[in-house]
Amino acid sequence: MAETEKQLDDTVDACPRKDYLLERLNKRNKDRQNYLDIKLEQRNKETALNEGVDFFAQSFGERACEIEQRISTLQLDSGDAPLPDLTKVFGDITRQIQELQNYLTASTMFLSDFKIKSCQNVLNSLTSACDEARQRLLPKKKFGFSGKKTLVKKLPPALSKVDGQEKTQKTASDSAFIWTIANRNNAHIVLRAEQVNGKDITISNVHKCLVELQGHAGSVQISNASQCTILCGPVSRSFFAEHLERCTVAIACQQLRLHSSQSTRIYLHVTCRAIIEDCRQIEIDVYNYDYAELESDFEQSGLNKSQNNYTDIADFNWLSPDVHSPNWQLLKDHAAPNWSAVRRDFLNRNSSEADVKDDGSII
Amino acid sequence: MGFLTVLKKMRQKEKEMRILLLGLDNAGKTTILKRFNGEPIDSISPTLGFNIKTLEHNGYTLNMWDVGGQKSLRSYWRNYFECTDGLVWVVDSADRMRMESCKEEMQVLLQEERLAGATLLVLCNKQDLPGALSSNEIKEILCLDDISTHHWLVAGVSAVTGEKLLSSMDWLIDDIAKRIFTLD
Repeated sequence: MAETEKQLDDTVDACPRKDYLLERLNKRNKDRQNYLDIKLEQRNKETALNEGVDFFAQSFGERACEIEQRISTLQLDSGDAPLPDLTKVFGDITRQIQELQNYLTASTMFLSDFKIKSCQNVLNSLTSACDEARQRLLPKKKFGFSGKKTLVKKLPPALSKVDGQEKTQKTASDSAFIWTIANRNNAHIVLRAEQVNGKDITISNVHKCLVELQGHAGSVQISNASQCTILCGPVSRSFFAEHLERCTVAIACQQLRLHSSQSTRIYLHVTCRAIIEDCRQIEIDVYNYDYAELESDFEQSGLNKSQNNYTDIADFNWLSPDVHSPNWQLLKDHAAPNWSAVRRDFLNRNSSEADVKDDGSII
Repeated sequence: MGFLTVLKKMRQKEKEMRILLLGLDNAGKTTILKRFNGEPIDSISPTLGFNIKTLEHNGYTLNMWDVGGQKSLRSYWRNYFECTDGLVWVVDSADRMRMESCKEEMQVLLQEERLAGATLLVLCNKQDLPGALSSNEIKEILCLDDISTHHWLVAGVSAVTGEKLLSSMDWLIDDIAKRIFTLD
């Protein structure tokens, strides 16, 4: 009796346990399905937001519409809109169009060819509408004059602007362009180490002058010099000169470029290569300038003293490799000049102006 | 991503770009090209003619054309305009004397019809020099803000130190890729 009771008890016990297990299984299954549903929903949402064709069409249309409206409102109240605002607004519109273009480009992955083409057409018409409005409302900024006219028109104001900057910023800032030496006649100009070392030296419009740069400049540029003697210490980078006439130059540099010059003699040390262009009667000989700190300047400029390619000049107007260019030649059987004697002669000739040195070099 | 998408992406990867390096003489075009290509840059002479380099970058094949900038070569620049995707205008930031002629030459290029679709990258080179103008100053001088016909970017770089060179080239390539690989 006791045994049967026990058995009964067992069956009674077994039923709830089974239910419980089933319940748990069901619950877990449900949870899993819910989780999957949520995931699916989320994924659908994401793709719909980012890559859905409909979504793209809608937002593209909205943005295009907005830009179009901006352009058309611009055209309506063109009369009273102030000018500086307009340039900004146009910049804004152009940026919007570019953003839209980027959006289209990024979305090409899931769009059909037809859709891409039609959207591109919309963009193109927006761009042209914007350009058209710009040309009408901002005639001053219009491009497309024939080249020469714009240049002639634009140059004078640009130059005067530079002049103005020079006047205001002459002392402090070096952002405006100032010649190191400019507009000098019959002068002996000597720049020493502190004025030359590491700097970019620029020389313009000098006539019958004796210019000496006793230091290692970063680069030297010369424009318009006639009947001058220009003696330079080692230049770290390039020497650029244009419009030299009947000049004598002594220069050591990495690269020499000589343009539109004639009847000029160059005592040259060049570690890379020298080129000439539109030049005539150029005579080349080896570098022989000398002053107290020359050796240390050579070292500090970083030029290789043992490498001198002065015999190999490239003439851009003479591309034949077989025949030597008629525009330049090496000096032969010619005594190297004595620069001290040259200096003495020069000072004797211009004795009245011999005092002009160092100072007044910046004009 | 469907099968077509995969195909499109593969095609994109094979694409070539043609990039033209121009600028006044001594701006550093050849140096930039060599630095970009990982070649030594210490013995570069003025370019008589042109250099071409084909190199792989970010999965694109870049055909880089570097044409000499001397006055007598500038008239030949136009022979290289056809099919140009990107124009790199190299400026010598330390050459204050010739900024005006630099601006004029660039504006002539921008009016060129065959370059109308090209992306413009203005590289203000030689930023490592003490006398160099900043990229902002050069932007003002060259009136870059007035350009509405091209996508453009101005960047101060140094071919000698490699500063910012790669990032600005990446911008150029990215901008070209967006444009020319839209409509296959």
